[in-house]
Amino acid sequence: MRGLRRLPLVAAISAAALSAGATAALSLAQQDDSNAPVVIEASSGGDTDGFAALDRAQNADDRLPAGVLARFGPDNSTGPNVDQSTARKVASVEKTDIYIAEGTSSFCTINVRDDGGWSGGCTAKTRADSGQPQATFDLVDSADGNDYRVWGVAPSDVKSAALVLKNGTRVPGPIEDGAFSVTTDDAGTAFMWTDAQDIEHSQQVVLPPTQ
Amino acid sequence: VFKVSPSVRSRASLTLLRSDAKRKTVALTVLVLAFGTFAIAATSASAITSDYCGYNPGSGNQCYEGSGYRGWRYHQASTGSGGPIVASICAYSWNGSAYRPGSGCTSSYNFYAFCNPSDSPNGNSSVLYVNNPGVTLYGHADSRVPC
Repeated sequence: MRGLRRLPLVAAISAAALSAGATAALSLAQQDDSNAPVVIEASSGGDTDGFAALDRAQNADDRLPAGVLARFGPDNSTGPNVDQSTARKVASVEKTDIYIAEGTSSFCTINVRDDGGWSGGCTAKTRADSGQPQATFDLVDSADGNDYRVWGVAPSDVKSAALVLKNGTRVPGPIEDGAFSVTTDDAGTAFMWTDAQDIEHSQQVVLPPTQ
Repeated sequence: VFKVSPSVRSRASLTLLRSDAKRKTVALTVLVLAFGTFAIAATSASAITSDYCGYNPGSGNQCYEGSGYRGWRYHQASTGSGGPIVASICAYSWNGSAYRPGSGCTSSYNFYAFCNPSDSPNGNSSVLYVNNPGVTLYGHADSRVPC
């Protein structure tokens, strides 16, 4: 098995004052008063709990590339209707950036490579609120065909994430800046994670058909 | 007084009927052609519809690119906007020698998509979607819209 690639630290999220301001704005956003004036929240994030990046101000670096927004945003009638103002870049790993963003009822994780390619998906906000990590299994280029990768984001109380290989080997994916990524050249069969109570959870990986 | 015999009247009526039928036929043909032109125009203007792959595909379902479908650089599996969460939602694209980067799978999602700028819109390969019950599948390769 080739070496595990780990997440380098992204620039630390600072400014507690900004966080407090964003929290206040978030409280306003959650009020349901149809007669209230519409408040444009230029800097606050979404309302999914457990992901610190959503509570800080949006930087220019957080915005989704135009091609990604074209597919995840309101221009795609069969997409999740992601709001660009909720997008946050949570981590960078190797040559990819990991983003989170919210749609009308969806929580999305998106991985953008430096060649302009990307992959990602969305689940329900209610599920993202449940304290589980949001993981995607995908394939990446390698000299001998494909490597296997599991990547995603995790709420702050998730303790560990790992990819379990066919031979039972558990390859850990350290969670840094709320994101994790594990790439191997052996196929994974399950994604495992440990919650705040040290309970282990497992999700099966659906491998591609054999060609 | 010129009298029209019943037989002549009948022939005249028949001629009139034939003429009327011809006009109706011509009008109908024009309508059909017009609608067809409109339908073709509407289809080509809506790439996401023309690139529809299938609904509720079983394991190994394929949409062949370059034969009936254009080559795709953008792939999407979706239960629809805000649609139900499914156990797994996958989209794998095989380029003849390897799976395209981004081909992948998620659990408990309702939307999965990937895009590769290096994929040829004219490529002749296939897309496979694995066990996507309740999912509608699309591919898209409009070169006017980069990744």
